[in-house]
Amino acid sequence: MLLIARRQLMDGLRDAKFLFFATLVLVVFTANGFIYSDWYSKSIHDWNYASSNNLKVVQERADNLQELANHEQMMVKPPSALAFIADGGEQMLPNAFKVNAFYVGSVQKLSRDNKVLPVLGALDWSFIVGNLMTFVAALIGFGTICGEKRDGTLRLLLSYPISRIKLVTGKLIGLAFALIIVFLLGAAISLSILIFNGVLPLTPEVGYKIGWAVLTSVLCLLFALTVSVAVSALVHNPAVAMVIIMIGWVFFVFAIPGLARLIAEQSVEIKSKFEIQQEVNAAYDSIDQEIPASWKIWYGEPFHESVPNRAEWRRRTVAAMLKVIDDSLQKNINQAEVVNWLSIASPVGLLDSAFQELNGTGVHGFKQLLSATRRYRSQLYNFVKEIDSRDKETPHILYPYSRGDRGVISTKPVNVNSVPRYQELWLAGGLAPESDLPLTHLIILVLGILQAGIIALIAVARYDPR
Amino acid sequence: MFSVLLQKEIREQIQTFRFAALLITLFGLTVLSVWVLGDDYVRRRDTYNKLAEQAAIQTRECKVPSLLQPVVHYPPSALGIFAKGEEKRLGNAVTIDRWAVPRDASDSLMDNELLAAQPSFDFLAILTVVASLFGVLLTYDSISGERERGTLKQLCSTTTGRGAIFTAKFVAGSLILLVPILISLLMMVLILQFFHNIAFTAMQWLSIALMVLSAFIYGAIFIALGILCSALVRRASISLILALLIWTISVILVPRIGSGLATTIHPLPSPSEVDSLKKVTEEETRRQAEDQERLIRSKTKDMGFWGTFSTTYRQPILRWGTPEAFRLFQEATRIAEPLWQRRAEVVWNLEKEHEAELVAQAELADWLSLVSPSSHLRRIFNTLSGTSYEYYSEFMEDARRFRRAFLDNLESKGYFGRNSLFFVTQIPMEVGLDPEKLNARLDAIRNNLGEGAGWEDVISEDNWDPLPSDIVPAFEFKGDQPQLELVLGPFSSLAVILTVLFLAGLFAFHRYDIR
Repeated sequence: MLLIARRQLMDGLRDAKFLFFATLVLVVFTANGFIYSDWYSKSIHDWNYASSNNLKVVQERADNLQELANHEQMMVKPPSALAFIADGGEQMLPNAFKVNAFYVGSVQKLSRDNKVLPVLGALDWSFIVGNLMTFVAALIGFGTICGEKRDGTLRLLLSYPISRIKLVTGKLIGLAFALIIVFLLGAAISLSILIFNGVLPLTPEVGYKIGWAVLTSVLCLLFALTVSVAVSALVHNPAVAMVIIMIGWVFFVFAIPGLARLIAEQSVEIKSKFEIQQEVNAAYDSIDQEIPASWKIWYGEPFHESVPNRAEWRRRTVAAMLKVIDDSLQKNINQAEVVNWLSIASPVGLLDSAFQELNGTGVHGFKQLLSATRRYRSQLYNFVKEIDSRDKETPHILYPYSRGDRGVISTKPVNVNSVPRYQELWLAGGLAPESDLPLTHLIILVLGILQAGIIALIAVARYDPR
Repeated sequence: MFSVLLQKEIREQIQTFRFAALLITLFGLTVLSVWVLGDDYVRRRDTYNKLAEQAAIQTRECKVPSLLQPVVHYPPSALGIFAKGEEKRLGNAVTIDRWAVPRDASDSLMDNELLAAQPSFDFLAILTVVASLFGVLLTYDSISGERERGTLKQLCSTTTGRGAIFTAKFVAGSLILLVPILISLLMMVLILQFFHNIAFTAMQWLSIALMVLSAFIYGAIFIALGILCSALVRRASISLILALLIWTISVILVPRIGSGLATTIHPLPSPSEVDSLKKVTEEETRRQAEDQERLIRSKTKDMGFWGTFSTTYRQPILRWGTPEAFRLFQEATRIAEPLWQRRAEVVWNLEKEHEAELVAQAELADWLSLVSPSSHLRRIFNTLSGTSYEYYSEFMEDARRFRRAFLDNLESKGYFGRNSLFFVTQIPMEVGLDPEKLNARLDAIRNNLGEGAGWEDVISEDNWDPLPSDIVPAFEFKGDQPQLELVLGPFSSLAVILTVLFLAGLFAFHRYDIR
């Protein structure tokens, strides 16, 4: 069996057509390394710029707690250093929220995204492995059995004193080795460019994640290869095998993710800005009817008896506005998650979604940002509450949009260094939840490989070599 | 003899498994896509109509010039079902703001931002991948395969020249590829007509015809590529690999690498830097406006001024004040108005520069993917369906022109000072909550205003006259025709690629060793 595997591997490595594609894959991996090194250094520069700007404003407001509590900070998601594995629209998705001590405000996009550039997809590992290398796998696998039959070498092979099962397993291992060598070589090129440019920190965590990515990629390639060998063992004409495999490739790589998006857009309706505004206005109107006009009055006096009422009005108004905004944001998230879930039907989609989960990019990254922002807001609120409670000259009534109502919260200066900073909290891992390792995805892939492998084995056992 | 050859080629191709596979794949995918995208279009069109109606009502019912924010828009494109383009990313409705030049049209129903990285799945996307892949698959063995089967010798021993044989193969392949495209398109149009009740205009039919033509040329390019590859090598399996290699590079890789490299070679300015530039200009204007304000404030000091007197808000609001204060307030806003409008121009100039950078980057990406037929096909489809950036940018130009006309109209009719509102949410201490006192106070102010300044109707929004209907000029979008001149470039690029591949194939076949 090992002999077969070695022969297949050597055949593969010596084969001109394989070498063509291998070179292509290596070139694309190199481009991946360079493009993402450049992207990351720019994005991290932008992030630093935005955060230092934000800090500067926070420092300016620190001479007045009330100002600070009401000031909307721009909380920006730091770019993922692992975006080269699965971009997930790291540059195109919204990546920031406005936040103060009372609410998480509107979603923002602070990136160098070009709205004019057509969306063609990124040049990440997920594409190289999922689209390009599965294509190569299909091409080197489709002739394994039926090609040998056409060339007349299959009978010769079967006359060797080894079982058919061993024969096909050996062939599969040989092909897989050839493919995996190319992948590992490409990955090494891409990684070394990224490390050389200082994008990838050499920490155990990063190494661990990259290890997972490599493992998932290898499984995905094995799946593609097994399927194409299975098809090759099911038909007798290599041309037919190739057409079937190409249809399969189009279906898995292109149609399932595309259809997933269509189905998600059909099943989860989202709202336009205009509609959101209308709903917010309607909510305001209904609050205006519920609440007596006298509640809204500010008497210029923080200890006045009407201040709790005014606070209640403000709180209700903001809660109503946030409900509309959060609902619509949740719909957007649901829609994007439906796309992810449906794409899992394709191993390529599975790979992409596993990678995104690993990296914290795509919808997954966005959800992390959202929960981190909410966590930061409550930290900021607690901070404001605590500092305010020390001031005996205020009524300690905290409510949103209270900037104009001077004196309801302490207006004394605060120690700038004690203000919670999202930048440091985030980098220290205090805000973003730990990303789970995509074990489910891995198990599904292994099951897929087993299934395709069994089909291939049965087909080979029943194959008529004449 | 040529027609006999052609008939033979067509007959052979139709009977193949791959033709059946092509037909089923293309047909199935397009029907699925058009079914959903047709629904999507109908929903977007209905939402659009609702929004347009609401926007018109809001404009009609508005009584305060300062609150007047007309919305200009154009309907979603029906042909966007075939080629989604950038329409749902760029939007098609602009709210006109006196103090900001419109820079995007995002007030419409747009794509979910969280799906921004997912490529679309429309007729164009399906054609780009499926038609080209099967174009190659149909013809990769047309010469090397015939040689292997031994039929090439027979074919070349007839009186027909190699040129005719080659041409017959090419024409047959192109026509065979056109058949599934036409059948799918017919089915799509039928579904749209009968299930979604979408009727196309004459201009749209012309666009569809041009789309078919471009799809035909696009398919023919890959037919020619397949034949060329099969005429370059001896064995069909090698020609297949060669053809698929070129296919992968030109259809899948080049456009991606093109846009990836474009973002690296021509980086955009950092968004926060652009924002802080804008903030600087904003601060400057704010300071100028506040200087004016302070001047007037000092005059109104003893006038019992109350509430927010600020030109730094979008809608200057006087909450409480004596008639004299009210007049001065009008004066202040009259002074501030041109300042804020100038600021809008300055900010827009910064934004215009930024947008020019975006366009330059996109052009570089296009240029880098010049060899890829799929990028030309995309430009043709998007232009014809009215979902391209160029179309949007014409609309934005018109929207900006409209804003200018609207502002000039406001100014010439003397509405610029009349941008204040009377709010009773904040009440002076001495009045308190006693409704009788409150009403008396309001009446007093109304009376006072009436005597002094002739603003008797202005004090509360309810008392304002409805605005004349001609205050908002009619919006004309001149770009509602497909920009046919813009498809000439991509069309000729496709033609050039086709000619080069055809001639190369012909040349290779003439030198081909048929043994």
